[in-house]
Parts: sequence; structure tokens; C-alpha cells
Amino acid sequence: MGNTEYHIHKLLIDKCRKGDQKAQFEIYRLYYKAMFNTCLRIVNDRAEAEDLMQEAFLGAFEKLDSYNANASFGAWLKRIVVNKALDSLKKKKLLLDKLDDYPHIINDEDFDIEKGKSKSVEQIKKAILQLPDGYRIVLSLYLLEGYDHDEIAEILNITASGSRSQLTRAKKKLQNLLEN
Amino acid sequence: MDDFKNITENKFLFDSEEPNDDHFDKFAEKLKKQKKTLFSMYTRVAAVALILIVSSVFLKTVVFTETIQNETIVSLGDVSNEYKEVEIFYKSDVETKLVELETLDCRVDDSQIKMVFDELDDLGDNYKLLQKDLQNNIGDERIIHAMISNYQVRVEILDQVINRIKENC
Repeated sequence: MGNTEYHIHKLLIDKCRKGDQKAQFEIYRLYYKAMFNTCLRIVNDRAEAEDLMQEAFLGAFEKLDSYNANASFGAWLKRIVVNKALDSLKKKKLLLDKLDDYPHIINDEDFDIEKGKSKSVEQIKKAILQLPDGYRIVLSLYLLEGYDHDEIAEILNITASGSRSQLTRAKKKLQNLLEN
Repeated sequence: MDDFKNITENKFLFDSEEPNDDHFDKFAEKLKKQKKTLFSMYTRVAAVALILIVSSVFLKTVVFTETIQNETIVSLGDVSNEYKEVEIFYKSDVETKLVELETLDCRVDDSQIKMVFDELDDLGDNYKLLQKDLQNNIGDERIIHAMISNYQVRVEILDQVINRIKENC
């Protein structure tokens, strides 16, 4: 299936490159949902997330030439969405008290949610959106968008250890939110 | 959801939020606009290119004609608009008087007329010399005044001749 998907998308992407609006719309239809959710988790505002996500698509179509077919298109697109969302947050100056202010590293495994068993997806989603921006972003990028700490460090322009400690704190905070 | 690992394993469940119902329409609009802005960007580039070409041609023409003028003639009109008016005034004055002289319904001594035209020719030659001087000393007041008085002399000569002929008519 992956293969077929790759081929369909390759054709679509080639058409997008040539400015075919139908193909661009089709790509949007295929990816909007994942991208919207990614964006929403970062900016935590539905209207803004929708705008930013759509702008990210338009931006992606413009720079399709820089897309290297070795990477998955979804991952490439997601990175654009993430950067767009983060830029927007930075502009609003809400972002991230200096993440590197937490140099001490706490073991990730300390804070698995044991007590929070059987929490529903909806409950967890709500709790994630209640996290402060810095926590929410690192936790989303790591747990849901699938970036590792090195990648998060690069995206957020912090150190990998800063990303690790921020994740640990975010997990603890999430745990608290879920227990209450 | 037992632990954080489960969140990651079930992350597709977290992508359940939907944008506003009209987001497809909005995006379709944005796609269309993008095309337009792209087009207008090309148009803008084309416009700028056109302006550059036109202005470079224009500049060339100006520079070119300027060099031509430098090589040949600098007239009073090239010094300032004021002098241009003065020049036009005297030129037309001389021409009207020449027409008047030629259309006088009187018997005229040919030698007299010839003398007048010789005189005017000399003044014309003199004027050309002044133009050359002005070309080398652009804006020199003495040359400009000499050119004006050259015109005045022509007008005076014509006036005198015309009056004398009229008297003897």
C-alpha cells in the first residue's frame, strides 16, 4: 500500500509543481487533517491553526522544488507546518521561557502515567492543550509528531538536553492535570 | 491509555480535530488568489523590465541628442526658457518683416535689397560664430547678449529699409 500511495502522491506532487490547482487541492484534502492537528497542538487556537495550516500548504507548494523525494512528503510538509506554527507563536512572544534554564536531566521513565490509567484520548487531548506553551510544544513534538530530541533541539533552537528536561517536566505536569 | 508510550502508539487517535466546515472553500479561494498574486508578480516583473528598457532607451536618446547638440548648435533656447521666448520673439519678428519687405507693393532698388540681404547674411554668419562661442562657454551672459543684439540689429535694419521704401513708394 505504501508503494501505491507513494506513486499516487508522486504524480500529484509533480502536478503540484506545475501549479495544477486540482492536484494542490487534492494534496490538501489528503493531509489537512494531520497538519491541522499538529498545528493546533502548537498554537492552541482553532482559527489560527486553520489559517496557519493553510498558509503552510501554500508555502509548501511554492517551494516544492526544494522537496527531496527521498523523504516522505508528509514529514516534509509537517516540518513546514511546525515551523510556521512556531514562528507565529514567537511573533506573539508567547513562546518558551528559555528552555535551557533547565539543565538538570531527570529520568524520563520516572513519570510514566501509572495512576492515570484508562484516561480517554479526549481527556488527554484536553489536558495537553492546558499545558503551558513550552511544555505543550515539546511534548507534542516528541510524543505525537514523532521527532526525537535532536530534531526538537534543532526546531526550537535549544539543546537536546534542554528538550529532554522540558519533556520530563511536561509529562509531570500532564500527569498532574490528568489526576485532578 | 496506560502510559505515555501508549500516547505515541495511538497518536493517530489524537489527530481527530477538524478545522471549520468551510475550510475547503477557504483553501480553494486561497489557491486561486495565489495564482493571481503569482501572475501579478510576473506582471510586476514585466512592468519593471519594460520601464527599465524604456528609460534606458530614453536616456540613450537624450544623451545622444545632447551630444549632437554639443557638436553642432547651441541656440539661445537651450540656455533657459526665458531666452527661448526671447529667441522665438525675435525670430518671428525678423520673419514677419522679411515677408513684409518682399510683399511691399513698391518699386524697389535691387541693389538696395541686395545690400540688406548681404547685411542679414553677415549677421547670420556672426550669429553662428556666437553659437559656437556659447557652446564652449555655456551660459556666458556676454555671448547671450551679443546674440540678442544680433537679432535686434536684424530687426532694426529691416525696419529702416521697409520705412525708407515706404517713404519712396
